[in-house]
Amino acid sequence: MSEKLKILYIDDELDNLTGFKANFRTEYRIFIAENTVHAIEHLQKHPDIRVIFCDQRMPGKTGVEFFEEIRTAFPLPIRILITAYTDIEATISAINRGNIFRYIRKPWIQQDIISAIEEGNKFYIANSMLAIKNEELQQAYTELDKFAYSVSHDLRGPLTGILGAIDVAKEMSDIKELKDLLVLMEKSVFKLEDYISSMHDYYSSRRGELKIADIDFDHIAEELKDVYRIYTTTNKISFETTVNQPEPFRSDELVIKMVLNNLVTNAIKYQKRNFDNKKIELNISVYDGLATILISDTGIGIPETHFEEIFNLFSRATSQRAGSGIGLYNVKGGLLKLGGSIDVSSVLGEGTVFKLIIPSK
Amino acid sequence: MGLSFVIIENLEIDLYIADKLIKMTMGDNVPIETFMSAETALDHIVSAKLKKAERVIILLDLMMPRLNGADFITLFETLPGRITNHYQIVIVTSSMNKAELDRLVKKKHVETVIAKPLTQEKLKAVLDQIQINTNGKKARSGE
Repeated sequence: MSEKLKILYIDDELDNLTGFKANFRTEYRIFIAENTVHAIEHLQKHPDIRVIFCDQRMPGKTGVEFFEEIRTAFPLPIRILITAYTDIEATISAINRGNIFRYIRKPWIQQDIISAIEEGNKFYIANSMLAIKNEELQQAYTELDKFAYSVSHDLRGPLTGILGAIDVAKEMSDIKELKDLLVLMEKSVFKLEDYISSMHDYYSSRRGELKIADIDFDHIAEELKDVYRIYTTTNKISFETTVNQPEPFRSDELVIKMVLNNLVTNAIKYQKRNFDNKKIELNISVYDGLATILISDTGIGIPETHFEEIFNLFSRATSQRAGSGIGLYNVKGGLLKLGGSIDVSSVLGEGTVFKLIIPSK
Repeated sequence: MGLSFVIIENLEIDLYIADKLIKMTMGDNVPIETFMSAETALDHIVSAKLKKAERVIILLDLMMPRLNGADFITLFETLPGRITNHYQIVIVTSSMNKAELDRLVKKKHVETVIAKPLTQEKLKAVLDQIQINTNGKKARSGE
């Protein structure tokens, strides 16, 4: 551990305080307080204090009373009482009510204090891990709920569509009609495939660790152009990229690619139909450790009322085009992992601009 | 008898199937209006000029972005009776949310629910049922 553990000791006798500090200052970062008011000031200033030692017998307030009082406001630090044999009843009841972690007999010896700190710290770490895991679990549950709900629509929808089409096809004899139906079935299959590959992105961007390496934005932009050339040429969309990267930039290449792939796919997908000047522009500039990325299109645009919610899981702003409602959610999740941010501005019927800012790692 | 259909469905393939199945069941000449969003369908319903005895069957999908099927029904119910009395709603959905479907099918203008995929059999059964409810006689069009 690079940083010293923070320990707070409260006692009304100054000699005890200075003795405590002198004994443990090399091992730990010691805060001392002669009364509980001063102790609370320390706790407010240093929320990362791990272990609190408090003398039981103090004028005005006992140690047990003090611990009971601070338990709600400062639940995390481990509370240890220092007490003499005569206070054993109060101590036992305090332990039983969960107000203190353990007690140390007075006069204390150095080894007792050190072992109490080490044990208390282990407990503290386990507790905080539990809190973090709990929060993660809660989020996972919420997302699972949304998935369960969406599976019936987003996975089952295209499937029942295909089933229905097969049923209709059985009654058809006109080859032209059958071919129209096949095109629609193909679209449904693509939709399913799209859904499943965004699922894959979702899990790799959520659960995976970041792999930080040098990023060559020129290379990434070229690759994007190559990958999407077939779509941009068949749909007569001009796709321009400009990159200005005078300095090195470090980040996770896979996450950046996932983010850009989603945004470029959207820019292609949501172009206006029957429009002659379809354009997508990708502009990347790196300056002072920040990459600013602009992706603009001449598409159908997004109503301003939907700017916030488009990044939510399964949110769809239009019914006119195929989409799973996961893409932009993944984009935001990916950027969050990279410490970046995304902004959208759009004019309905004119186009949309996404602005990304990503710091170098 | 003036009978026509309105299909409200955001999935292209389901829209195509519903259109096809109605034609296969009722004949190619039956008037059908199709809408990929509930908003535009509602606009159409508000402004449509219908003759006195005209009946319109709405095939309504539930899970649609923006205005969904349930909200469509809520808005539809606020329209004056001289408009809504022409319409009977048939919900066509892949939703398995039974509580929600039970709630919707109790609505005045909702006749029944069909589970996707829509087939000719299901459509015929529902049309038979509707015509019994409203005319007291079976109409077996298209057979």
